[in-house]
Amino acid sequence: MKRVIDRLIALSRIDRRVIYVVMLLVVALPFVTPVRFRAKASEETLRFDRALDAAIASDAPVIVSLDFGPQTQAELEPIFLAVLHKLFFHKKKVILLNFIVEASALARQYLHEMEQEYDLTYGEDYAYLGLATPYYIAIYAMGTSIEDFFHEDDRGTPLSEIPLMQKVRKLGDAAAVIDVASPNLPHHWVNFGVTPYKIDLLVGATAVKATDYYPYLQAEQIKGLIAGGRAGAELEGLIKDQGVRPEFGSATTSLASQSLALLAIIVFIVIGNVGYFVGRTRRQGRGR
Amino acid sequence: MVTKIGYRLPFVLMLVFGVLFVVQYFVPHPAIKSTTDGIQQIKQPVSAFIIFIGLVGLLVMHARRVKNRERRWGYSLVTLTSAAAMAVVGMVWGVDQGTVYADWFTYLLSPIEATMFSLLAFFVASAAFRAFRARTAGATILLVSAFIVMFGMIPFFEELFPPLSKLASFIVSYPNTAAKRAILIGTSLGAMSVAIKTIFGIDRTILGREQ
Amino acid sequence: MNLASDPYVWVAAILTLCVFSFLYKDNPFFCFAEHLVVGLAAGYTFCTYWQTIFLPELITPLWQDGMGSHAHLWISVVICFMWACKYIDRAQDLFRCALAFWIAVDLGLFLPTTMSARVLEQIAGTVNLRLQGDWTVILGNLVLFVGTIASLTYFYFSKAHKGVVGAAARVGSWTIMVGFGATFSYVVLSRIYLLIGRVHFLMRDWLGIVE
Repeated sequence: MKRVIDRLIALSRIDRRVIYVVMLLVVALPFVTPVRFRAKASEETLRFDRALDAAIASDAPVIVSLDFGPQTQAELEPIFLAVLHKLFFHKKKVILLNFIVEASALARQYLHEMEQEYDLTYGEDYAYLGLATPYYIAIYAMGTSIEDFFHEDDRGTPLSEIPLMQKVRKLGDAAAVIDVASPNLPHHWVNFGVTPYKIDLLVGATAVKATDYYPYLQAEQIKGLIAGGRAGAELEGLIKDQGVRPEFGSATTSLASQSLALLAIIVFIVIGNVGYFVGRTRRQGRGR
Repeated sequence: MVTKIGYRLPFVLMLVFGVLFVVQYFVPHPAIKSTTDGIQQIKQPVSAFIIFIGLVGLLVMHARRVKNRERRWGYSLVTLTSAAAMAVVGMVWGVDQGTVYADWFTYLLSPIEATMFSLLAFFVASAAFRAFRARTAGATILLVSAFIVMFGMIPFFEELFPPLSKLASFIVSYPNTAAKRAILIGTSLGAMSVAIKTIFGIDRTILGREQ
Repeated sequence: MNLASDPYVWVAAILTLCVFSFLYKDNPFFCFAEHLVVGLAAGYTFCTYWQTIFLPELITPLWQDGMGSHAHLWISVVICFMWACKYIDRAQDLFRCALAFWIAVDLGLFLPTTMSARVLEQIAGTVNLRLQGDWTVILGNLVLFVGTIASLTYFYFSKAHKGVVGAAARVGSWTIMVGFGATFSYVVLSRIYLLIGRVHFLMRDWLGIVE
């Protein structure tokens, strides 16, 4: 018994580098095994999908705000691509913009891919307005006139010469605004977009930020929320079932790694706690 | 150097523009609206200029390190060179997809930034192992809640024990919403009180002291 | 195994490994990557702001229309100049005026929208309880109502946390802990996804081990 206790205490003091190696292995190994999971759609994801369907059913174009950089690309890219695939699959007109400087390069890259895959025409099927700054002013100003704030799109074309922009003069003209964001942008969309102009806002957020948006979701200031990569996998499953995509995206293929890594962290916490309590009991025993 | 008029004028500006923008929200009169719309358009190029000022500050700091041959000045040279190279590449060959600028973004900037953030996964695991202890009742509740939500997110357990996933969803949708809502209301009320005090010049720390 | 042939992929992989090397300890490879990313990000930021905002929104219209340009463009130029005065000791007054204008507009916009979005709407969401449908929804809404009020009580410090207030504050602290537990697990999940992204890049794009 004493030996087991000693081992437990020793285990709770392992070097941090051992933890790092274990983390690396649990993330890497599932990729070389055939084990694949599928995420069951939660109520929030279904709600997001219904709101997306409602926006698609409307005649008006959709505004998509791409607000993530390479830092959170692994988590948000599947959500963004799933949304974009669904919109373009249903021949929905999309107006893209971003408030984060690094998102400009990503937006050009994604739109280039979409243009080739869905044979899109710039200015008619989609438009990219480019970087907007400062974000709160941009959101608020777009509520009255997009053209007065942007003047030109990312390619330097005046908005008055873009056919698609004639249908959307202000935020309220869009069927919905979809914000896929890593920082606090959804807070600002709610503050400066939803509150004064009553737009329909759908949010795709990193899991870190997602729990902060549940109050908005409950108060229906946000119509739908995709909470992180796991919910992204749920959305990928939904759009595959709907025939939008032939196969799952990267969020779904990451599920096995995600599950194993979560399990590893749970085990770490349990070992840490067992070691702590065993050590404390022993110290108290010695004290007596 | 701050003069007496120079000290007071910013507070007058703060009051005038602060009140103007509060009023325009409630009174959509065309005269007020056109004024505030004009101000909003002013802010766009100025915000870009403010970014430039920040970048100049950064580069000047690194240039000084190189000039004075300070410790690790070689790394500062890397920063200066890469900044200049990226800017030149973007200005000369453009920023569109397929340019060198886009390639450098994808293969140089992105991997480093993404990997820097991915290090957090290791640090979170290590911190959870070392510090996440059920020492008190509050910490135990936190731990149990975290375990339920984590298990609920693993598809295998979701299939094996469906109520677990429902419980996880319940925790996120209700108690979490209640806690986050209380924090949201509290921080917003606090921020608003600071905003009012700043606009009316009661809190003057934001613009520095009179000299 | 199908190693990448694109030199850019190799550069990205090596930079990724440079950053990962920090997990062992701080080293020159990590410092190089760290300073490289700062420089590249500075160059990228300058270029993007210049080409997509500063040039089309300020420089080009001023160049084309000259003295006949719209008034707000000239005001933008003046405010840019005032911001640049940050680095001129004798012109600090001008910088503080620009700063005051900037903050005032932000606060003026922030106040009414925050009051509505983050306070009133949140209160409305809490009190408009839907006590019908599935029992989990009814229970959840009750938890939400009680939890929000209890959590707000926990942050209310003008009255001693004794008696009914103390009990409510205790329930509030438990609710907050449950919420933090959920947040913790979401944070862990989020960080894991970032790591998965990098590992996937190394295994698929660089080493070609996985499809």
